[in-house]
Amino acid sequence: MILDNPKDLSQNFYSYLLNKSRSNREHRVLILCATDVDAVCAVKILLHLFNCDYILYSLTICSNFTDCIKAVKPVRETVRSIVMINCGAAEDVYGRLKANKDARYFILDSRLPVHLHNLYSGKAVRVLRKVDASEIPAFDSVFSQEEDEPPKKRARTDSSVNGDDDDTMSQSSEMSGSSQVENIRERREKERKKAEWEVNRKIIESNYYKNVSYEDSSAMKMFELAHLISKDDHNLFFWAIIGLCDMFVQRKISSSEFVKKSIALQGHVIRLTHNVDVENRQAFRITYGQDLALRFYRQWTIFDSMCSTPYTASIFRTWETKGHQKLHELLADMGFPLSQCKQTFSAMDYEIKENMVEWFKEQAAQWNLPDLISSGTFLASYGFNQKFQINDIALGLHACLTLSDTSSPEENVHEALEILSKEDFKRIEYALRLGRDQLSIFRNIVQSAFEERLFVGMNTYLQVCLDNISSTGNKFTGRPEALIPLALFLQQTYVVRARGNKVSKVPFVLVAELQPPSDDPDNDWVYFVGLPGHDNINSGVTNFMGRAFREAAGRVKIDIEQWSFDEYTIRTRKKNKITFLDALILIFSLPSSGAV
Amino acid sequence: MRALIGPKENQASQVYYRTLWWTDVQRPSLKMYGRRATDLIRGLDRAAENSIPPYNGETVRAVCEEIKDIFEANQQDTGRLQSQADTSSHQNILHSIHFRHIAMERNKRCLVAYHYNRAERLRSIRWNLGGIIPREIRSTLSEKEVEWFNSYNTELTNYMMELDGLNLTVHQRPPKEHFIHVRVLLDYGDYETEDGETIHLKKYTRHVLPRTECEHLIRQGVLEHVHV
Amino acid sequence: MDGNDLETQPEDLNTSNTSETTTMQLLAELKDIWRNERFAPELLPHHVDLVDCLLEQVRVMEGNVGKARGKEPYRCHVHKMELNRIRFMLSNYLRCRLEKLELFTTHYRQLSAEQQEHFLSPAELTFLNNFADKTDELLTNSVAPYLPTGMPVLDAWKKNPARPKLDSFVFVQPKEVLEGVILDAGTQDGREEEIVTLEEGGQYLLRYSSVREHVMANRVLLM
Repeated sequence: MILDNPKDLSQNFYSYLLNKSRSNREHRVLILCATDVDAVCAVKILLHLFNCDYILYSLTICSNFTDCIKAVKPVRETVRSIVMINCGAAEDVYGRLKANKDARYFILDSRLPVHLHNLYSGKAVRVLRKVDASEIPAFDSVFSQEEDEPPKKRARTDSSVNGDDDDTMSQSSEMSGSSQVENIRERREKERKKAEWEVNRKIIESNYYKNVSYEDSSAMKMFELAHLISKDDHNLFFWAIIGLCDMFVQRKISSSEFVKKSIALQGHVIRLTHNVDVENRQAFRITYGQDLALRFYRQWTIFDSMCSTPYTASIFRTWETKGHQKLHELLADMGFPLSQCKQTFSAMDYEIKENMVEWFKEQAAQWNLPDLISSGTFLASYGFNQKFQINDIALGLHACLTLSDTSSPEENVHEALEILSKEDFKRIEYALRLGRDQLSIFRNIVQSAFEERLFVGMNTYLQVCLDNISSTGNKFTGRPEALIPLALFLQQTYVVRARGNKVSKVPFVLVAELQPPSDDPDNDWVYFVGLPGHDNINSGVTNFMGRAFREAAGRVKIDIEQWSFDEYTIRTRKKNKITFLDALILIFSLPSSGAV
Repeated sequence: MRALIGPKENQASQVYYRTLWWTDVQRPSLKMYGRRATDLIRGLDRAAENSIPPYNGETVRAVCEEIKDIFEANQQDTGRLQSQADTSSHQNILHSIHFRHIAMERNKRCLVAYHYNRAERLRSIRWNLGGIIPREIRSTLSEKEVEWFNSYNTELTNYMMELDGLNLTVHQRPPKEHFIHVRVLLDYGDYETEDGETIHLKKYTRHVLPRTECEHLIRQGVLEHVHV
Repeated sequence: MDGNDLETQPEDLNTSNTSETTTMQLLAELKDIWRNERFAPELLPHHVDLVDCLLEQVRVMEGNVGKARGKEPYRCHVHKMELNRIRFMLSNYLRCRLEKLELFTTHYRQLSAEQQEHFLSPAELTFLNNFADKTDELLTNSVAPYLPTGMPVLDAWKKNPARPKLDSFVFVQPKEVLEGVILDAGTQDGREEEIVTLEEGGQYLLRYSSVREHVMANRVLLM
């Protein structure tokens, strides 16, 4: 069952849970939450709503679908409602989680495509998102309604259709000649049709599941629900925007999509912040407007910020000394004295801070940097002094979830939930600091990738192998989920530097051997992240690499595992690494590969 | 120690204590009465506030030995007093008897203080952790203390029975909310609430539970209170 | 907050009109008694009937709330909160008394039988006796085996037991005009005795011993 618009959401999702919890005191909602920022924000909003209505819940954090199965197992018999946030859309939830028959699943996931079993499971599984009806295959084309009848029965019915029930014996012996042939022909016809239908089904399914894409931040959906039931306030809005910005920053939605959605939220911005007491020192407001698209520029020096933002880093090639000089030239052109550039933003002169955006705008045209000024970013301000770009906050939370490889993902999610808990900018500053640390690590890795020539590029395929043991000091630290933004960074820098037409269409694979955790030294997984061509990411954002991985693994018969909820992230044992890479290269070099 | 706050010391014993301290500092090799008793008390003093250090049976027995020795010495001296006709050295003997008597009383007092303080700590364990002694604490107690704990437990339960089953150990903090949000810190497994609902407490999950259920789990360190 | 939600109950959550008002009265009384007990250095006379009455009320209310479970969850919630609060007050009051008993065991045991009846409820008396016996047993039996036979262990302790400090200062708010309150009686400060009159509703800082009888008779509030 698909719940499209907010009204459906509130009736068939929220009201359903509310009524259930009122009629049955022991009703408890099991919430399964993924480990990304959007999920964390969505959970925060949902918990707030549950808290208002005293709906009991149990929250478990899952990094991949196996965790989900483990979480449902102990409560299989008793659970009646399961809410899955940013997990489970791509899996057959009803079949694999195997809770009791009365359980209802609610899937709130920004991923597409949704597994067909989830869409067609009737009331048991409710998918909380808009799904384009034209893209879903019809029920009949993917699920077979017929049952196979055994041949004997068919013969008997045939004979009864023909008439005589009494003389079946004599009649059947008479009909042995012609009707048997007919039977055989009919049977063969049915089997042929069935085989054709199967082939068709396989084609339809492979087309349907081909591309992974994202739409509609989950946190935003929860906010719309809250708005409809009149329980929204600026805190919920803040969390929802963080979720949306996270999707943009992780390149899950294109910038045009992001702009469209941001403009649609202006009504909320005005409504929720107009009555904030302006004189209150600690007043929290959200504003929307033009700002520099540089990461963390308000917390860092301008120079560092420009070196760490993938856009400017790739254009200026900041990993080379030539790049540094060019950057200095640009800043000098704009009228920044050198001493000012080396100061953190908060310590810069007031005049410079005020006019920075204007100056950058002028220079942007000259230096051909169209994306330097973004037409709309959300800013959160606490009082007069503290202003944060919400994009930065999203990056900071992502770092909080992925930077430390010693604490478990669940601990990280709880920490992130705490950071969002109060309107306390000190915690946000802590998260931003983690974000900067993570970006510095990425910067160093990019630099060493170019220096050590880790990019292996062919015309059809690009890869980088990160080996934690041999690289000189720029090691990757963190959880595997941090490999995705790193891959985006690496790809962008390479593509912009190479400046070829073809390069921007070529898929990219990042291979990384992470340090095994201390409690599991035999852990010898190699992690793969696959991204489509750079153009693809900028415009349509559909990722077919999952299928490519599966095909490659199938060809050489090695086991791969999906380590998160995304198809294009897989891992395999070290010994399989070379064979797998060879198979991948082969697939991409074939001229008519089904992948592209 | 609270029960022993009270009577003021008399002059002689004050002098005695000061001498004790002085000798301890200057001439540790000199044998003085009361050293072992002071060790007993110091051991308890050093221990962290809610913990019970292991029962120091050896020192207790040593202190008792000392008391015995003092008592016998006093007996001897009293005998000598009675037998001797010469009253010139009576004063000296009387002084030493008096001195020894004070030392004995002090030893007894330290012993009583030691045991009483341990009993107090046991009592707070009963109030915080419930009627069953955890294994780690059980090994630090003497047999008599275990007996005392069990009987205290029974008395307390009987008293609470008189009150219509009102469990006094549960409502230890003013209630602000009926339900609180908690995070699970240890893998606890299935937990059954008073209503009969079973909740699976796995590490790193988060739940909403009635306050009365959670209090003792929070005290045990299984759950942690979080704010929404 | 106390009585309001109890007043507006629907029929099924209500017991009867008379018991409704007595519950409020009982609660107000309990509050005063509880405060006095918390701030007094010694054990105050027991109010076992009040406690029993309230426990009964709590039980009845709980039963009603249980019956009306599915119908109005918010009301049930509020009632449950109220019950928790009453239980907290009762527990705290009784715990406070138990703590005083455990602290000043010997002192209370040495009271005469009528005094004991006045200050302690029967259950508390049993508790006190058992507790005292068992503690004495523990203290004696832990060391007696190693001492010369027949040597008393607890004699010095029992001679000078810990007694409640009746001279400690308390904040007092009289409920009515009190005449003839004697200050500084029998202290060694060298000050002379004074006799004062305390106004109703005023707030004073005095020694507990001066207002002891008034506290017992519930004529003042300790703060």
